[in-house]
Amino acid sequence: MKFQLKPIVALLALATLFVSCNDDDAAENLTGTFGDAELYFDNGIAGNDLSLGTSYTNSNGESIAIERLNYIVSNVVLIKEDGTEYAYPKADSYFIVNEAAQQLTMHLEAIPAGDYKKVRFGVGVDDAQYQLGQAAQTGLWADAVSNQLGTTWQQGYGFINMGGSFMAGNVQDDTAFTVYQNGSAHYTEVTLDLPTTARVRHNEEPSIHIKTDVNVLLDGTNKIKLADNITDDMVIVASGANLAALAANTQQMFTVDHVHNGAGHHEE
Amino acid sequence: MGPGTMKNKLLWVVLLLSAAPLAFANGTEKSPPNFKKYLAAFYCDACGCSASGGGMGFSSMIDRNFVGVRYFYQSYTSRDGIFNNSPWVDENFNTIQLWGRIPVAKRVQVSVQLPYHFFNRDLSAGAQNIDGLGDLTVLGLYTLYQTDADSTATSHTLQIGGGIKAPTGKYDSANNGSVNPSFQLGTGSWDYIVAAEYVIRHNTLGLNTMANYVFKTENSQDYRFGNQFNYAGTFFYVVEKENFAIVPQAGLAGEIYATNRQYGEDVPLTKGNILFGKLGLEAGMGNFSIGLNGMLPITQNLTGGRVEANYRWAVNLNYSL
Repeated sequence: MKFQLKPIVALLALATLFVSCNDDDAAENLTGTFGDAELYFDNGIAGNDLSLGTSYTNSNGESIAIERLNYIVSNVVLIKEDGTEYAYPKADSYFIVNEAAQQLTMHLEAIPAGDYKKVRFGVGVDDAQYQLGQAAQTGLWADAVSNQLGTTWQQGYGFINMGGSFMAGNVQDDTAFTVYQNGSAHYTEVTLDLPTTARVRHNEEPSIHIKTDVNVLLDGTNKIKLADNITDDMVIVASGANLAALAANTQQMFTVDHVHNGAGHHEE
Repeated sequence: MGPGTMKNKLLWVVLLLSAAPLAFANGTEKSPPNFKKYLAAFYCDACGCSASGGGMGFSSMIDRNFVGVRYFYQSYTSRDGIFNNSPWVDENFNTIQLWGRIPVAKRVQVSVQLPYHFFNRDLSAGAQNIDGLGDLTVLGLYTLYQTDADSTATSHTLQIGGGIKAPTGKYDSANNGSVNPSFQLGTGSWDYIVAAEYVIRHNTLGLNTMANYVFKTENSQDYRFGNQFNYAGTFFYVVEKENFAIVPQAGLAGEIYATNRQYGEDVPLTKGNILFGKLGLEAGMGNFSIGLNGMLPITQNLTGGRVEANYRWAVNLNYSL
């Protein structure tokens, strides 16, 4: 076997020609530049896609068909790695998710360019906003009412409205239910880590794809049995100890599945 | 586990049955006069997209030097969505490729592949088609060692090489959603390839082994597909008659992909690996040869289980140089 070294050396030398030097981007100057972002709320049940009207059985042994899922998202804050926060202008930070209407994407505009690693938002409407009074709500109240998240101003905003029908071991007939989270004391905020950076740049719009698990509202840390809440052949979970239990479960409801960066792909 | 598994088992059975008669074909025992011609070479095309057919093979077992045209088809099923019960959509990757291995010096060959792709898939949001030129690959191959011509019943050939994959195919970040990140005509990047191949042949039976590694770089849209390692081992059997030759072949081919990166960050769930079984047949007459081969996955884990390869098949027509 006669190995010839020269051609190998020549080949290797040739190969080095192709090794590209990464000219590191000159430190980006983002000062004074802005970009957009979006939050996409992809509603699911225990890892499966939410299909309205399709029943599933939770760990409480109740077979539930969700036919309505609406909730208010508010007070969006984007957080950088170093902990610096950008609070989206409060008046523009309300968004109502409506599964039946497939109203799922919240657009955020004119965010200071930067690399964001966390997002925080409220579920519901905080007390300060409510205390401004009905006249100061600039359309928010009307939107809430039209999305079944408000009846009378005195009762205030509904935060989450999930409804449908269910059956359980001791409930043989299909029974209507409504879970109606409300009350300023039960406004809750969640902070989510992003699996990759959300890069906000001029002309680049990151899409933060949030996966919700609405199953945990009744079947999270706190177990809320619909069958325990029957009054006059129907169930309304909207008061008492259930509200604190729902608020705690809401903490478990959201995760960020992934972030799309760059121009191009966006969820609708 | 996607929906492809059962279908694959059936395909395996069909493939094996159709190839069985060939395995028993009765070859003449004399060494073919143009023995060296049959020292097969086998390369992966290493198309950069992490599910775009790296292990399709690069050469003919019949013709050591050739130019030709090849069509290949790859079937994938990908999950369209983030949920366990999100729909799986079929992705069809069709490619027509000009390919060749051209001798340029006594021990040096240049291997070239220029693909044209027709891809389509039916997303829940609607059908999507992309077609156009793919990435051009050019490899230089140097024959490090070769048994002296026709002097022995057992022959060895060892080749090494290197080359480039040029971004002649379009990379479109808009396709880069949460479904299959490799639904692209090209990587959009200049990629570099090192390769080695060893062929041993004893009389009519041979084994071709090869490995190559593709270094991928960041494209202009700040996306970098993961580096890729391809390997294969293929047994072939030469049935030589007066006017023609038939070469049935069977083997394994694997592909291993590193994690993709975007803006310098790992993109979660983009690495993967796959091992195929492959069966093929080539027939040569005069200066022409035709080839047909099929590949079915044996094990796979592509892009976190969100993409499943179903099968690949290819047909080619070559002209011997």
